[in-house]
Amino acid sequence: MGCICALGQNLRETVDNLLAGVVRSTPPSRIPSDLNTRYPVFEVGPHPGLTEHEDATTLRTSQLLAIAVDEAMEGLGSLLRQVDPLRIGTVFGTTVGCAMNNEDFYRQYLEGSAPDMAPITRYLRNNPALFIRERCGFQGIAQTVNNACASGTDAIGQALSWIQAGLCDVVIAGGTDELCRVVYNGFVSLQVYSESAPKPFSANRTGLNLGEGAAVMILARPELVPEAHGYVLSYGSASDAYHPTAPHPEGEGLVEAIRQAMTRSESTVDQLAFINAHGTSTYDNDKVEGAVFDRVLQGVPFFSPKAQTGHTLGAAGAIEAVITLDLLNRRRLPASAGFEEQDGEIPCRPNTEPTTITQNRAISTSLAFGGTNSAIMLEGKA
Amino acid sequence: MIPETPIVVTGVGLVGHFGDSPEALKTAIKEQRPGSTSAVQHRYGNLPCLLADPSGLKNYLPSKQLRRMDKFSRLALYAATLATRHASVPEGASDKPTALIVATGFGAIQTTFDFLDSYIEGGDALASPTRFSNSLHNAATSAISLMLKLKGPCATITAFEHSFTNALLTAYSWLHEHRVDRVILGAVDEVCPVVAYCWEQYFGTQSTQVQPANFTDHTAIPGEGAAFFVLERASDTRSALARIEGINSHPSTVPVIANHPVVYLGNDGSQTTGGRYQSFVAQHRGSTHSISPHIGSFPTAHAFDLAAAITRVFEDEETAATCVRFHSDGWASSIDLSHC
Repeated sequence: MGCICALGQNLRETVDNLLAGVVRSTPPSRIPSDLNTRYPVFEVGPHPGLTEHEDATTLRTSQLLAIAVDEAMEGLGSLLRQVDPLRIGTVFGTTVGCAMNNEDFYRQYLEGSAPDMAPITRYLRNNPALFIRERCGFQGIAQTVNNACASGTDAIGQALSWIQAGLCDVVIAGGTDELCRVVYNGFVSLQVYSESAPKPFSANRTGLNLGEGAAVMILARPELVPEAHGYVLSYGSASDAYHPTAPHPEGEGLVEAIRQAMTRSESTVDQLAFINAHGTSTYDNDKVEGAVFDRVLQGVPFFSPKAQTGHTLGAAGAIEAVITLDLLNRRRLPASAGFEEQDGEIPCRPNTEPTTITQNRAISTSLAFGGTNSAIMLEGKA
Repeated sequence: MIPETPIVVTGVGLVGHFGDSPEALKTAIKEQRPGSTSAVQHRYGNLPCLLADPSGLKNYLPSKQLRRMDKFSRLALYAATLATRHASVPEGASDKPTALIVATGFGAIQTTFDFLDSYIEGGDALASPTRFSNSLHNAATSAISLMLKLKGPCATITAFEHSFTNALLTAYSWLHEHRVDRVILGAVDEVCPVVAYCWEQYFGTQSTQVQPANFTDHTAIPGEGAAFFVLERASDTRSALARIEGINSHPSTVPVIANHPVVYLGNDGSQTTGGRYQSFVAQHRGSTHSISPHIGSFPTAHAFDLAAAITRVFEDEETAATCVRFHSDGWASSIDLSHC
């Protein structure tokens, strides 16, 4: 597994800081804006794999992903060498990494200065799944998943399906997204962006903060790996078919996604150590998610890391999947940062104190614009 | 990849330059009627393109519901509506678990630039929330799910020219593992002024007629459209249009060999891939067809090759066919299908 986000430059540092309650939100340093408010973001700090300024050939989204892939592949050289490259797939979630929205190019286009094609050529070479396939010399299926905020979870779920269907022996799966002005302005315009730090599930929550990062899981057929970090047991996905941006008020799709993940992994509620909640700190998401947890996973502790990672969009589900698996292996559950007050509309509350866990399974949920809901069931190493 | 679980196509819905049905595509091919280009205006001139018209959608859904929907989503929703009707899928696909997978090369590209316009013109505070939410790559998937009341798994997939083949593989994996019993699989891309500008910058020339057999000159024309298919396991259905026999993605080091004598080739007049098509045609001992003059060039056009081949196979004009596309990055995709 590999991970880079505002909390840390690798998975160990990320989870150490998560458990320590570290919060590193700042005004955006890389997003120009003429808004009166400098809405906070969760930026990734300097890293040798990240260029300080926009790179001529590689998007920051791809740079973040490459860092996470390299961490995940450490020590796996012999595994990857024994597998036919045609049977190694790549699947990553993203939002920014697939959008042809280079602002400088478009401003020049509008101004009539016949912009150079370099930013478009770079965009065409940076589809995350194709980028990593080429970079690593793999030859299997490569696809980027664009299910908005559920993309990372769905990418891992699709990787599981590919292996179960016999399409791949190994899949490099995860998600990646960088902070950019387009998405920043988009979420501010939707009036779901908080001027202060996120407070998932808290009565006084006022919205989300965006973040950036990438995370990767390498999934393999069990017989190829003598010692795994853990297991992706199942994947559930369902749609609300209710509204373009708001979740179904009863969480219909989320209930179904959780049901599928529970059923397919033959899990029972008492086997779950915790729920990694999507918990964006928006009014609608947290209200619906809390109600669903109380209804179908009653009593299972839950937390959201988004007060510490920010909402990393297409990377979120992947970052939270690797965090979840690492927490299972450490037997630890963090406090849900940012939670302050019980919300009378939410019949349960997130975990408020770091805790030791005994069970070895956890479920991670994601909700997205477009009404997509996803859940994956993870199990720590024995 | 030869599917371990046989899958079949039970419905097709199309909207492209040729019209909005498999019959319209068949007629255009039969009459060898070249597409009539429309000039897409961009900041520095205009470019002939083969455009698609989704206005027939109003015959199926109330105009009020379509008012705020952009062309990208309308194209996809129209083709998805036609495909589900063709396959007699009941409202909301209430009879069996149904997934929706949409492949796109560029996504809702016009709305993406419309969103940029909203704050470039008026400042960041005037960014349009509606344009933002409609600019997301999964906007069309969301519109289809909402309008057709589909509550199963949904996925939007992009890998430029690889998008459709890989989406088909994912559809197969979901049917194989019984995640669902039916997949509505589609492909959609649109032309916009910025795409037209980029096309001119990359290729320089303006063509008014695609010449698939001209492998040396660049005669390709940008196109757009949506093609949707209803897929099910062969064991679950009595009537189907065609059976998918193989889905393959070939790296440049692996030669593409068609498994059937009849081949639908993606030679679209592009200079980048012309040499590979020329070599393929020279070595292939069967017939080759290209529908590019009727649809134009766009990343997910491979889906239309499949639609054309399905129509021909279903109508007993052939027993089997292979669809082959060579991609600009050196890879190739092929899909084999046969009569049921």
